Amino acid sequence: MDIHLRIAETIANSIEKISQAEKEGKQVALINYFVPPELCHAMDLIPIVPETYMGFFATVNPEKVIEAQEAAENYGIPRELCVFIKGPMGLALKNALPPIDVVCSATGVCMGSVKAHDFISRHLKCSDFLIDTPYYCDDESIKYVVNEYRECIKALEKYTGKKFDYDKLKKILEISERGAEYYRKINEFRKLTPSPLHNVEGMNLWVPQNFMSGTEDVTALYQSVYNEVKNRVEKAEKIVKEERHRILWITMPIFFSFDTLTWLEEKYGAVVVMEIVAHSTARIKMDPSKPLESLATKALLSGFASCANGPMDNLLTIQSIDAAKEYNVDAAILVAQWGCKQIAGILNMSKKFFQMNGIPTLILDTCIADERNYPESQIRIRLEEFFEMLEG
Amino acid sequence: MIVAGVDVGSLTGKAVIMENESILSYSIVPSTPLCEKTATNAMNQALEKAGLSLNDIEYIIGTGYGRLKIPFAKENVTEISCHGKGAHWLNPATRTIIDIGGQDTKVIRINEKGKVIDFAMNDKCAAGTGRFLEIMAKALEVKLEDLGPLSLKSTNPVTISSQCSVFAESEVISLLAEGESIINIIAGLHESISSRLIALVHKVGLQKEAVLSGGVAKNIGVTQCLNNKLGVELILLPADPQIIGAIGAAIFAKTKLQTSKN
Repeated sequence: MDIHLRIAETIANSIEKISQAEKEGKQVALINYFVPPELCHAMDLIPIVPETYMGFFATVNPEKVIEAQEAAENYGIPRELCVFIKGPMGLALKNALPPIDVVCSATGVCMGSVKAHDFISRHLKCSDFLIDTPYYCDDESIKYVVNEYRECIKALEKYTGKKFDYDKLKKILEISERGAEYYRKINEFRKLTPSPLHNVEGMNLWVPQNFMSGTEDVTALYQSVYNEVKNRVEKAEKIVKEERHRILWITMPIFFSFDTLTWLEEKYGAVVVMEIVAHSTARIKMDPSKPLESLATKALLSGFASCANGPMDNLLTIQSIDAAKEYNVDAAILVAQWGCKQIAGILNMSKKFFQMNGIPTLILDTCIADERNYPESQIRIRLEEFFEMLEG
Repeated sequence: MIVAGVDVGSLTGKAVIMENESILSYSIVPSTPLCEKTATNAMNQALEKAGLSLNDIEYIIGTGYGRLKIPFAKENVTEISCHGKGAHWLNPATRTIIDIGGQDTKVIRINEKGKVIDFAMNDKCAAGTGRFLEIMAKALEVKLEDLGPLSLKSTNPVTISSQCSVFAESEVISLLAEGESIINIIAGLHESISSRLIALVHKVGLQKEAVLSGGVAKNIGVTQCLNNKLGVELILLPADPQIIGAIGAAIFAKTKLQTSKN
């Protein structure tokens, strides 16, 4: 099976498991990015990240994204709001979420996400807990987040009536780290020229780990992908006919426009070799003997943190320029997610910074999951202009 | 060596016929719903002016949003590259091009060879484009070409707060109902369109010489607003500002033909 289909199947299976949770007597925790799914797994809670549903549905059934958006809009939420904030609210309003036992959110992605989860917990009348995440990442911040996790664990114990098992957490971190190690190895292969991964494969590879870290399913996925990519490299398989451009993709991929990603390969030999949302996650090694510290570090240095939270230095130097060198990129594409104020804040400074470092950068202003706000022809025009500029 | 460039835009189609380093003729025709028809109308008019037939043209390159639908074009090149090439050919000192077209606005930076090094385009909204001014001229019952000269008479431009063309039209109608003078409203509209453009200019940075192209470049009111806001004198190129992209396409055609002959 193609790698991107395997990724989709793994996510679909995970969503199916969530939908069966109640029947199987399992409790479900609705979380956002920055809340480590490993914490939930250690309590035998099934984590659900509703933002992920938007990305997944955009890939397999875009109508479902629109239905969720319209449910929120009909409730009075402005259409201009980011799809990843509005969508989860719409799912709750449509009663399209499985029964939720507890809502657990973290600041750090964006305040919109926190408010959306606040809305959902009130709408579903379930308990909630908020993990505060500092803007900066240093030793003090890590200690602070560890303390927040301890408070979160206490709250989850109270809400679910379950005892948190630290030994189980260590075992889950071992699983998580095994998966991460395969993921890191896959990314090492992406440093090769030509890249052994298609755009639709590489760009979606990071998605499952955001909400499935710590499960054998995601570890098995990364292991199988690693084996296949290794095989491709050993056989010197040419994945893209003629690789002419190596692209650093900042922020998230456009989930539903796989045609455009393939068109980039075919028309311009343009291969996305790294995504900033994934880059740091790929580098952070977790120490199961220090589980909470490891999870706090991973959260604070995650790609999402670099785009949505934390000082610009994190995004620009630690993440992007390092990645550009490591992956030998010659251009960058920055997707300005429609309705995202965080991204709006970093756009031009990022572009100028990359250009100063010799990396031509294109800003694509669009929504990555709601087709209604994705002008395909306009996006292609801008991409054509950009690649013509690079090749001119 | 006779070549042509055809630029099919949202409001107008343009064709330029060149022989060696000279423009033989050009045309500007209104766009039709069919890009093929717009391109053919523009080309036929330019051919007629030059006293030529399509068979006399050795190489044709298409550009503009309808470039893929030009039946007689041998190749197509994007608008950004063509505007850069055309502006550089007309004035080699050009480094920044501000192009205000029918429904899109572009700011393009080029190097000393006319190669594009950066660009930015308006997104999602036509509130800073020629279409915006067309709608407003209609609402004000003023001829499009009169907007510029009229606005220069204003001493107190009104503030147009709406970001959307449709709301701005409503706002204009409300201002008229309140008794605001048409001249001040037009000047306010030019301020509004210029403010949007300035943000786009700063995305790529302004480097001299900066030139203005596109149909809105014919509007003296917008030009003056931009000059004031940018603190530089934007240069008007020695050609109709609407045909810069088509000139660029013709220059590309010439280069292609030369390369193929060598």
